[in-house]
Amino acid sequence: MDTRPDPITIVPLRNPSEVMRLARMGSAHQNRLSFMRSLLRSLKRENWCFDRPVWQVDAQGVGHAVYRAIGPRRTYSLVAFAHDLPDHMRSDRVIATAWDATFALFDGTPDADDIARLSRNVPKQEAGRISDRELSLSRANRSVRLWAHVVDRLAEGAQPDAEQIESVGYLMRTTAVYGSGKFGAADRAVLAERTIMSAPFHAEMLAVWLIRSFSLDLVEHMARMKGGDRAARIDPPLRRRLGIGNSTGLGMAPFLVNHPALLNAWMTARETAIARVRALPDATPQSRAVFLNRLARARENAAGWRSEHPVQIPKLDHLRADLDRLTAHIDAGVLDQVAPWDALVRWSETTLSMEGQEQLVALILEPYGDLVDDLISTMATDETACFRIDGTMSVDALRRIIADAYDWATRIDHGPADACARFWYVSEEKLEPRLGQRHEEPGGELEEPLDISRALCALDVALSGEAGETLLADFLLRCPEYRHTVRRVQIAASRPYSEIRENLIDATMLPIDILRCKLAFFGANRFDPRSDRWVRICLYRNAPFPDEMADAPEDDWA
Amino acid sequence: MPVVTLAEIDATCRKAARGHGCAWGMAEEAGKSARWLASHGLPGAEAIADMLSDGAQCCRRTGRPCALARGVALADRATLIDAQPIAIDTTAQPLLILAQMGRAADALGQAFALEWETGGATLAPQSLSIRGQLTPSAMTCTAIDPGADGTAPLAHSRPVKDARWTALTALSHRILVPASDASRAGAGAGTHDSD
Repeated sequence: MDTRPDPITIVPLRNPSEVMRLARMGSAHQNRLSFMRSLLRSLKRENWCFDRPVWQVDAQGVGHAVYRAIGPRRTYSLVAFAHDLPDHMRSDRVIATAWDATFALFDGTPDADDIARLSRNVPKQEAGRISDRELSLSRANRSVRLWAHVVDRLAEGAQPDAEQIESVGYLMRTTAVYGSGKFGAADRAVLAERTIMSAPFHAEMLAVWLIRSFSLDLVEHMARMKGGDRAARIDPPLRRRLGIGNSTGLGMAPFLVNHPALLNAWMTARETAIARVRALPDATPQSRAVFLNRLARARENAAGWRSEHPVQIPKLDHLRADLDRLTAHIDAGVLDQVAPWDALVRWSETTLSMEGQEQLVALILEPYGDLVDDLISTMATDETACFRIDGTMSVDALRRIIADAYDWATRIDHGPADACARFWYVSEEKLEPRLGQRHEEPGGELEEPLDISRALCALDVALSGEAGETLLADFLLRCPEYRHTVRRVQIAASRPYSEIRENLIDATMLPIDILRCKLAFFGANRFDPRSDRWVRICLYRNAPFPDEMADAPEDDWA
Repeated sequence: MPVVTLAEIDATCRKAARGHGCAWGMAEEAGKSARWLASHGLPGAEAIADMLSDGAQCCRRTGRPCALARGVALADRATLIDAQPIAIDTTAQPLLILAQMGRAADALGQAFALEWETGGATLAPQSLSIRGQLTPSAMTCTAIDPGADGTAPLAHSRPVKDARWTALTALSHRILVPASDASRAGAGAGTHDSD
């Protein structure tokens, strides 16, 4: 990786020892670099067109539809299957076997044979099989409460209740959105050379955005079937308020740990963007106007953000108070001073809660697309290049990296029961990552290598018995059990944001913090933890729909 | 024959090697090597399946490096390789030597030549060419100037031989933990979800 300082930056990036802590990662907010936003910006800039060439859905809401995104070089199509799911079978769990709707994102325009093939496989999800003509596989369930309300109201020719829309936020909730070679879908390398799809998770985010359109089309269709000519369509401003829900469980948590170079790329891009804005000598009236507008949206978002989780409730209280304090501080003229954004961030670090601090660093990027949006191109990374171990490095050199980059890990005592209370594993039942209680449950010997800090300590001890000039190639030939950890250390040597600097097997570790960080990079909001290991979120709330893209201002919705 | 993606070849071979008992870091090499071979149209998953099924060459039993370990040891020292040929003992899966040096070529932007009794291979960044039949035999490895005669990897899905894929899948399941009530609790939404 290029470790030279960013040429525009004169303010240093925030220290990894602060940024890579779970309390802070678990307070992350969506920002200009979030993948949903960069996707819609790209679609807008490249003048993509959208249509719905197929709509074959019957009066019971069963059938299929195709939504196309047509770009200058490529076309992608969401193939949606609508099902008639009995209420008692509705579950957001990955372990469910039936859904209200299932989807595949097709590479191109599918013909009848493609749709027939997909109709035999996509509704089965993991039990089916897609091909490398498809980029993603996903499913969604209705929000039963809101769905029935919206259908009933529209069928009567009336509009749904705005408060009910606000309190739920979506008509459908996706669960897993599989891509990157899973269940037969095209390998990530297929997309690596494509302009829009080479950015992380853009294929998945495109699928979800089109699913949102499908959820609205289906609810209006059902209202028409019920109300006939009387039926109304949802008013566009109300329609905009509907996003797509998502339930994200533990399965997503190991991703950030298993992709250290990618995590570093994402974090470095975000931190570089923050530092670039902090380095600005002043804030123009136009920049202030955009910032204040987005601050107002953040307050509105915080006001409507609901959670009943004991960890999230006080965080939301703090966030709302922080945003009030921030508004008052700005009213008092903080933006009139030299380097106003830097002053604001410094002020926040001693005044606001973690939620407020992370909301602020997201907000200060808003006026500065010209300054930060280019960083999107650094957020995809070739992981094969850094996967290779340099076996010609000496044991001494590796020790120096550990002392420098892993002091946080070697300081942890993993001896106490609580410090190694958990183990990450993959369940036989559903091939899904889970977290076990080491001292109470069987299976600890089948642990996945996510015990990063403990493994680092073991490596450190093993290296202390080696001569300093020993080549790692020789050490690893004798002791291959350290190979995984040596690889991480070499990756971390030039990638300061590659490791979550926490004991990931500690009794107090909260997986929802890892999920929140990743989902904020996607662009999610309204995080609502439902336990310490799964979270509900909303995606694309307030975003333009495909038919609004041509007239909607660029990236002015989040 | 099942048609699988490169990502599935990588993941299944990694888990199978781990299920067999390889260290995680070695299992990762197995996955990436199988993926690299498959991307060049070679039977990478099959080579890993054959290696894992052959107890006689398992380095944990014999104390001697298996084909994977031999390739890894060579690739770890790739930057020390020059025009002076390095000798590599006969291995049952010489494809795995190719894979390791091919991946080193990709990562380092450097080219290597492997020679054996009945042929040879040029491993350049994103490029592979093979001459003659590849059979278990002693090899030599040198660093060379990259030529332009190789073929580039392709990312599409490809078939893997049934029995080998079944064997790999069975091995990969050895790392799974049976479900318990405790493990199900809290991993996701409740079983009935009507809100």
